[in-house]
Amino acid sequence: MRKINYSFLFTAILGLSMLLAQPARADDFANSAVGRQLIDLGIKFLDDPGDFFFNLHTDNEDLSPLPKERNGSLRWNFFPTTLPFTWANLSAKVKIKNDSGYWPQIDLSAEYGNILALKAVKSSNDNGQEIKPSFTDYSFGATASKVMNEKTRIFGGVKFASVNMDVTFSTPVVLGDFNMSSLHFAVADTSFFMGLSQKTGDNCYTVAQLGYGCKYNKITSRLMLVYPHLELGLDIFPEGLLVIQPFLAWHWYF
Amino acid sequence: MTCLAYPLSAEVKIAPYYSLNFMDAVSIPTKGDWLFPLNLTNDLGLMANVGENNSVTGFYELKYTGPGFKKEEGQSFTDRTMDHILVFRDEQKLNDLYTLKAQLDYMREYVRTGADEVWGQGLYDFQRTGFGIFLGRQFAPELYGELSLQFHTILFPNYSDLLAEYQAGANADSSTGKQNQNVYQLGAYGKYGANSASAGIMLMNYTKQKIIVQTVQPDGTYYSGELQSDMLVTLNASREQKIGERILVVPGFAYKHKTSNQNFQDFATPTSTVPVQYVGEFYNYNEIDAVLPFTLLISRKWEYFATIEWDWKDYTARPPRDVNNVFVSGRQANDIIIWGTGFTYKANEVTRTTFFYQYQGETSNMKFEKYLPYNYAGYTVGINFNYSY
Repeated sequence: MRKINYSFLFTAILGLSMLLAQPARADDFANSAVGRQLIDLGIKFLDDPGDFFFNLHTDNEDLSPLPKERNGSLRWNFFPTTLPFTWANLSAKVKIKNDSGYWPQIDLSAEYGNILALKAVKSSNDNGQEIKPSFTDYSFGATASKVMNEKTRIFGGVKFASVNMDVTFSTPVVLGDFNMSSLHFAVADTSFFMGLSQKTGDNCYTVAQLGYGCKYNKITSRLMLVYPHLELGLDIFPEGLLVIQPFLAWHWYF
Repeated sequence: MTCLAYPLSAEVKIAPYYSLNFMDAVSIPTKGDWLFPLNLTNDLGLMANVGENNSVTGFYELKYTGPGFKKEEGQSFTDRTMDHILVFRDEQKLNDLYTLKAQLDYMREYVRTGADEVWGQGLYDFQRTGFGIFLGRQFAPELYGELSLQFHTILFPNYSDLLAEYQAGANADSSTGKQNQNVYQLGAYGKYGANSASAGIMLMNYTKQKIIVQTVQPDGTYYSGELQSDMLVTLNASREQKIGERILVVPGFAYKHKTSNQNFQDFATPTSTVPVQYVGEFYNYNEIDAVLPFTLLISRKWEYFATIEWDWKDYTARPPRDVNNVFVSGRQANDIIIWGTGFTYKANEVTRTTFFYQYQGETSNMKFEKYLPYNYAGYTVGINFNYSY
């Protein structure tokens, strides 16, 4: 038979691998080099889980200005929030004033999200009673933008964001020295941001943005490519657990 | 930078400027833990041409400098800083020969020396406010000269007392100059073809910090009634030398001479109130810096670079210390050598990505390194990304 049945070959290789590979025990993995690095990262996460989730929430937001010919947009950030954290989110942006004369364009935006997987988590209080875990993620803000030339706009604005989580695990998550029995935090901050939006193709914009949070003195930077529907970007958090966070989002203009 | 100006009106045209610079690296010292330097700088500015001979520039910079090898004495490798800088400048062309610039600027720096410190509570946080006047003249097509006069006031809201720092055993270098002061600068700059040179005098008059003296004063302290005053004289020279169409070399040289009427009292233990040794003119030094950067244009998108720098700093009166923090004979001298190499990729006219490798080493006869490093070497490998419009 000349033609190779690739489907059969792939299934055979996968099955053989599963047959030959012994499932690693948790303590073997914890003592491995990769395991130790992950445990260190996990311990750093437990030092300030609110900061980690607040940085992830930033990926759900987009405060860059709407194209001047559009009136509004809906946006869904699918990575790294919906995937892999099941963090469903939706943000909306509406233009309330066009750019004309000395007046800038003004857009209002709002975002809301929730981690769906938490609904399946068994959570209990100190008395052993089952309680519902809670998570809220929302933000709202205003952006003013002004056209500088046919391809470039500068923008700036202010936003308020809040991320809260309250969950106590019935069974703690343990791996080596990493021991997570609960996550409780409430992080909220008002931030100022400014940036530049540049048309780099027929249907493509590049957005560069810097932000500064008043309460936590948090610096963020963003570089984003905006296509007709897809957005690819990088958020940079100099003091975050993950310094560079790539993100992928989908938007609809109307 | 592509500057397409936007006509706000018949007389006013505005051009924006934005720059994002991000550096991420790993530094491996010969002793101590690995460091993970990370620097992020964002600049946003607007330049407006108001009429034919006048332009106004507004500029904001937000800069984060993470841990890593430092060049300045008195800084620990784990120090992190966050700077907010705001500048407004007006440039007026008076006639064909003279240009006058006036500038207002504000800077706020936050410092974190430990992982658990919160921004805004750093001992060495400061804010600087001031203005400057710059008068330039085009003497000939290739010859330009400029005189400048600047005034700044620097406040350290969290810093308290120099003597208390000494008694606590903190390193004198980390607390040097960290007191409220007024700074006066007079400068001269000249450019002739590819050559440029500058000279400057900076006077730092402290508003509250008194001079530490050798004998106990009537009030029971070692402070005299005289206020601290420092002076820094700097001379710089450099040349941009093109070799053929593809090679650029820019040798540079700098000399610094610092004098201060501040002195030093050595307390043996952190809780001691009786000093064991007095050193006058403790902060006076001379410094020579030499740098030789080299750039080779490989193609339209690729560049190769290499650079080497030497810094020699010699104190005129300060003796070095041994590992037990005891002064020994001689005068403290610190020598730094930094060399680096790498490649830069220019994907388009607004982005540059640089891959670099750098060595930094310092040797000093100062052997007390409990708080700050003086004898070390290390390598840094990293990537730098720049987006500029």
